[in-house]
Amino acid sequence: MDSRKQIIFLVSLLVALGLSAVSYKHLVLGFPLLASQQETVWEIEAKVEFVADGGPVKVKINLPDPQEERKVTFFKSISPGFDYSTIAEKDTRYGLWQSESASGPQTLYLRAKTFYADQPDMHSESIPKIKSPNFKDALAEAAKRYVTTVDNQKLPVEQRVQHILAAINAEQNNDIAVFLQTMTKRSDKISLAIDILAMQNIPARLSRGIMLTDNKRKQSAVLFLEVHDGKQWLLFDPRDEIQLSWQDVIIMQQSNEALLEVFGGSDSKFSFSSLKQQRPSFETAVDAAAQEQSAFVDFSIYSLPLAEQNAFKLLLMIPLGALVVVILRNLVGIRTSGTFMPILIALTFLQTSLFTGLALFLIVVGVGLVMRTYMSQLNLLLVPRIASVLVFVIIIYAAIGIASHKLGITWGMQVTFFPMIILSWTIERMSILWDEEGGHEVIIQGGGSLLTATLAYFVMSNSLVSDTIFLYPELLLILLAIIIGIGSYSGYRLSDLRRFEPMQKL
Amino acid sequence: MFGLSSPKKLRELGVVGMNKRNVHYIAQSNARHLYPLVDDKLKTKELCKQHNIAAPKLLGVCKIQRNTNELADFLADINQFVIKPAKGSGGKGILVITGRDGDYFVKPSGMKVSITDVKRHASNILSGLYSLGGKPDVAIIEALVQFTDDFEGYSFEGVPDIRVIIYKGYPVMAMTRLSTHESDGKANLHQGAVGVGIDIATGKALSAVMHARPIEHHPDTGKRLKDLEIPHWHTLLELSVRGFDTTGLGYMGADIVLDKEHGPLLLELNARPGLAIQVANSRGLEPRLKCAEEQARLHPDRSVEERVQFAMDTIAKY
Repeated sequence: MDSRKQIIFLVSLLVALGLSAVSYKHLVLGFPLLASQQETVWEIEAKVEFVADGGPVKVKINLPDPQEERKVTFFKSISPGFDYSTIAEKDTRYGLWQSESASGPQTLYLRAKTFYADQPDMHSESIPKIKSPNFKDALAEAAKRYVTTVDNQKLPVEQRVQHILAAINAEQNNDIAVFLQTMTKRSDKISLAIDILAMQNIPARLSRGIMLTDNKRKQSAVLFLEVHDGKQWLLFDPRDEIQLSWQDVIIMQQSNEALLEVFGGSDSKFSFSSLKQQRPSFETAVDAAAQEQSAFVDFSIYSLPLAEQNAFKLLLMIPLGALVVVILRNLVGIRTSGTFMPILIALTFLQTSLFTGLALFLIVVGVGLVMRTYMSQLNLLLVPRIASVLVFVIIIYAAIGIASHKLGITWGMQVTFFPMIILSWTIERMSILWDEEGGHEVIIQGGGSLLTATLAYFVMSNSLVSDTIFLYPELLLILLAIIIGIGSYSGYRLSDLRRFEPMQKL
Repeated sequence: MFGLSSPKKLRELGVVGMNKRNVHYIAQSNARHLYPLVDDKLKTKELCKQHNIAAPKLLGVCKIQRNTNELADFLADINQFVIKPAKGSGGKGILVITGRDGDYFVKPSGMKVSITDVKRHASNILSGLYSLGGKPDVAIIEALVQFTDDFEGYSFEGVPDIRVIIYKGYPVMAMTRLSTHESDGKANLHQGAVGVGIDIATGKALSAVMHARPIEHHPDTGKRLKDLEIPHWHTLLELSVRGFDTTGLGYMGADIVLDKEHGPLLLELNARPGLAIQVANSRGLEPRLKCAEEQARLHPDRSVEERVQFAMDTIAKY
């Protein structure tokens, strides 16, 4: 393969690898495309209290069914003296605490952080079977009368549900009130609603879950009414007679089994608390992927401690600066003093802010050049001369620092962020350039360096760019592909177009 | 538009750009291990001596800092000389001394420098001030070329040199660089020297530029540049082509000076010759390079004489 084909192959390979990694993370792991997106995460704590009898104890709690749209970023049981495990039985997941022996009051916690990455899809093709109620005599008559009145009003499904819930809650509809006389439990009342809906050919079921409300402690599990409208399941709050969004609740249990079972204990109580948090989407996505033990995240920058992650966040910016240098040098044709010196200056600008950085750079290099001009008369050898320039640079730093402090200018102290060795070499190189080629060339190269540093700064300081590259470090592969591509570009530079412009007139 | 020419227009003219030169010509024709032969002028000088290529006489070499203290004695009887770094680039660090005034040395501009200045210059060269990447270097002291009177009035100070681009053994384009007051006796175009394109076929001037803009007359002497004709043209081309035969560099520039007694002398070779020669000639290199490439492929065994003749007859017409 000749080098041209190799480059094309390599560039396409890098782009393909980069793009597939990015799309995997976005589509499968749910990473957001833009790092600035925020997500609402719910921190939920389930608390089980009971008094243990002194023998072996087993506590079984019904866990929410896994949902593709709902991601869990954190899941932990806090239960001293108990072993916790998650088990699955007949499509239902349970949390199981076990202990060989326990006595006295016990408290078990289950903590989870969860969020809905998407609107849950509750469409269901199969319409569930309807179990016709078995009412007798007067009750059957009353039910039939109620259904007829509702049928005559030709209401849509949602309003029919609200109608029956209102009738049950208000207890003013005579036909329904007959049923309520013997009912005390809420679940029975909801079952009645389900039966009445069944008579109207509307499938419905009871479920239990948690309402996601911010900063609410000691909630108990709430009963919900789920209704199938022929296409999808709708969720209703039977107490307030309103339709709910699936994103506002977490359904713990859909069957009629017990939510909590305690063997070997008594006086069990079960409560929830929920707390709302706003987090950058990508943090939640990273946590969710880590919870699922995705190797992609496990062996990535995110597995590092936070301080190291921040160091890498800065390091990941450097290739972007390099790209700017490559573009400006090889496509535009700008001359800089030192190939990658502008990147280091741009990194300094990140800490000092642009205008402060530019001003400080010009002051240090300007004063340094004046001092260096005097040095050339002393006929020093190269290394001692640069070492002297280095000492000058430090003295200038100190002078700027002290003077700005006395004058009450706070930004003066930021001069220390500049890499002094690089500045010393810059001064040395500029000085030689001045002697040999004149001030014109110094201004061209110095200006070129500062222009490059400024553009690199704008790219590197853009939080959208930096967060995106931190979120998708795979983009570096695409960056590498671009740099390799430019490396084999044999067309004209912008400076060529300027330089050879006189030729087209001849 | 905006003082820019369109890429299309430049392509029509066959102009080679910086990226094309680097990627296509230098990277593909010049093997990396051959670079030291031309980057180290001391090595080039030794190579010239071995192959009997005419070059300015090597007087001495300053290899270590202590040698600089011996300079005063060494230079005692030499009135005209050039001190330059062996690994310098772009004409940096070349000190030309054309005479004496008492204890002082006189530069082409008439400026006087003391032996201390000369020693410091040599010392700077040794510590790598002018070399690529600041690496330690050696200082070469060579005889000043007694340049011919043929350039009288064409050069303000210093030695005019002739740059010939050699591709795959064929001379493809040539120019001469005339120093001006502005360039301080140096023959570098970006320092303000005048570049005059030379016809490969005849050795006569084609067109001239200064600071990349066309000019008619020398800025200091006012002489018409079109009238310039290089003597010993055929010998000069042969000399430059032999530079290729000894180094094996496919794309290179040969810098040649004309001495009163010795005729054309090879001053140095350059593995990364600049592209300003195209402006001086107001012609693009591309068609000539293509022609030379084809010839090199078709006739790999041509002698120096045959290749020079082919270039004068055919390549010069592109």
